[in-house]
Amino acid sequence: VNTESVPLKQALLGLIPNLRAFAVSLCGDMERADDLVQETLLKAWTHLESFEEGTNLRAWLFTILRNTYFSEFRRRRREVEMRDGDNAAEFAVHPDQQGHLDLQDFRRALAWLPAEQREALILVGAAGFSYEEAAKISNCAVGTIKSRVNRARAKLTEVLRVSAVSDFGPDPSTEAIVAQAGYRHR
Amino acid sequence: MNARQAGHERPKGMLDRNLQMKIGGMLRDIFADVAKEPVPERFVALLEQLEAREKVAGENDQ
Repeated sequence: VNTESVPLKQALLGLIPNLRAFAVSLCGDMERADDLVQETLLKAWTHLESFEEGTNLRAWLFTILRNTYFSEFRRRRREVEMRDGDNAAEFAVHPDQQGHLDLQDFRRALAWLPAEQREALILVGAAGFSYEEAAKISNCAVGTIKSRVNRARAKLTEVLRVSAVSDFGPDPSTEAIVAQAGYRHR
Repeated sequence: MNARQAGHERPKGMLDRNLQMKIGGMLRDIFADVAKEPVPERFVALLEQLEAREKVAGENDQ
C-alpha cells in the first residue's frame, strides 16, 4: 500500500497520542475519544489512497477525526436539542470551586463552547497548527477560523472570570468586575 | 492595543490579560497531558491486525 520510508503502521502509532489528545479535547470524554481514534485509524487505513503523499499525515488524520466527530455530533444534535455557548450567563460556576480557577473549571468551560469554536481553539492553541492548516482541516476559510478562535477566547475569558478573580486578586475592583460580568453569586 | 489605551488600562483589562495567558496554558496542558500517555494496547493490536490482514490479502493476490 505504501512506499514511504516509514511504514504506515509505525507512522500511525506515532500519531496516536496526538489524535487521542485532540479527540478528548474535542468531545470531553476519554472513552468516546478512543472510539473516535479507533474509527479514524480504520478509515485512514482503508482510505490511504486518498492521502496525498508528501502532505501532512498528522493534518490528514486530524481531518478524518474531526469529520467523524462532527457527523456524529450533528446526528446527536438532531435527536436532542443541545445547548451551545451563545449565552455566557447560562454557564454556572460550581459553588465549591468558585473563586479558584482549576483545570476542571477549564474543561467544563471548554465543553460548553460551541463545537466549531472549541475545535478551532484546540487546533490553533493546543495542537500547534497554523490558521491556514486549521482552516484546511476544518474545511472553512482562514478568516472563519480566526473569528472562531477569537470568539472562543473571549467567551472562555468571560465565563472563567469569576473563578479566576481570586487567582489574580484580591483587588478592590473585583466585586465590580464580577457584577459587570453578570453572574449570579451563589 | 495602542499605547494610550495601555496607559489607561482598567483593572478588568489586566485581569483578562492574565486570564487569557492562563487559558492558553491550560489549553496546552490538557492536550499535552493526554498526548504524553503511552499508546493503549487496543490500538497496537488494531494496527497489527490491519497489517496482518493486508499481508494475507497481498499473498492471495500473487
